[in-house]
Amino acid sequence: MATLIATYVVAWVGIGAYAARLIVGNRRLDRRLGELEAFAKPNSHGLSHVQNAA
Amino acid sequence: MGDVQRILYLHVSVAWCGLACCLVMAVCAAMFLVRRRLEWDQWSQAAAEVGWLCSTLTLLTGSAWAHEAWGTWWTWDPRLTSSLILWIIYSGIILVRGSIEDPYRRGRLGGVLAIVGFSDVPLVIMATRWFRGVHPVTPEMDWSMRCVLWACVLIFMGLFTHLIVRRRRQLGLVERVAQLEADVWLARTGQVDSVLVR
Repeated sequence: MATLIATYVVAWVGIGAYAARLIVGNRRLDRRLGELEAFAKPNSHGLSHVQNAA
Repeated sequence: MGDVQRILYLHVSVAWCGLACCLVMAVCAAMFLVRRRLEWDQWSQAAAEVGWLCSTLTLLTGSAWAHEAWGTWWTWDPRLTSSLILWIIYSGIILVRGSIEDPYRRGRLGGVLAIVGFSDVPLVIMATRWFRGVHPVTPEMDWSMRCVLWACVLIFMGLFTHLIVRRRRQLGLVERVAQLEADVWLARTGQVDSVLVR
């Protein structure tokens, strides 16, 4: 019984770790993409932050 | 074998998923080599990573099974050896991919390795029929156990398909963020006039 439980625990920890890495990575990338797009989008004057800075 | 026989449901499911991932990886790699579109390479990479996870779990759960059934953690049975070779192929592909910066070169080399590596899959499947060993060809089981096994296989296929889709989306995001960061850097340094949001 201990072997059975240990096997299932190891398997689900492995799958869970990979899934958690994906979820955290996707959230971080979504946030970064939002920042970059907000930075690059034109404002009411038709200029992006980057163009203003230039 | 008592309760330990329940390892079978997990072991067979992840083993089949590992083989299916290898098929997806090779098909997507071939599509990349033909079409030269990075999306196909991203699908291939996602399948390789999830396949590696499945292959690792196959070896671990199989080892636990072997310890209970045969009294040893490992034996050089043809099925076990060909499964280990598949794990080494997955590991090699992931390591090679991680060492190449240029995405198209990475895709070409990773693609060729994926297609060559797929040749191990028929060997894994047929190992118990072609060679003599201790691994059972198809374990005899009651129809109710067979139903549970099929349900487990389908559920794990769904789970790993979801993981591949999520990972492919992440790889797409990584590429898009890198492209935007490069554009912003160029605009900041005055090398281009504006940043285009694609």
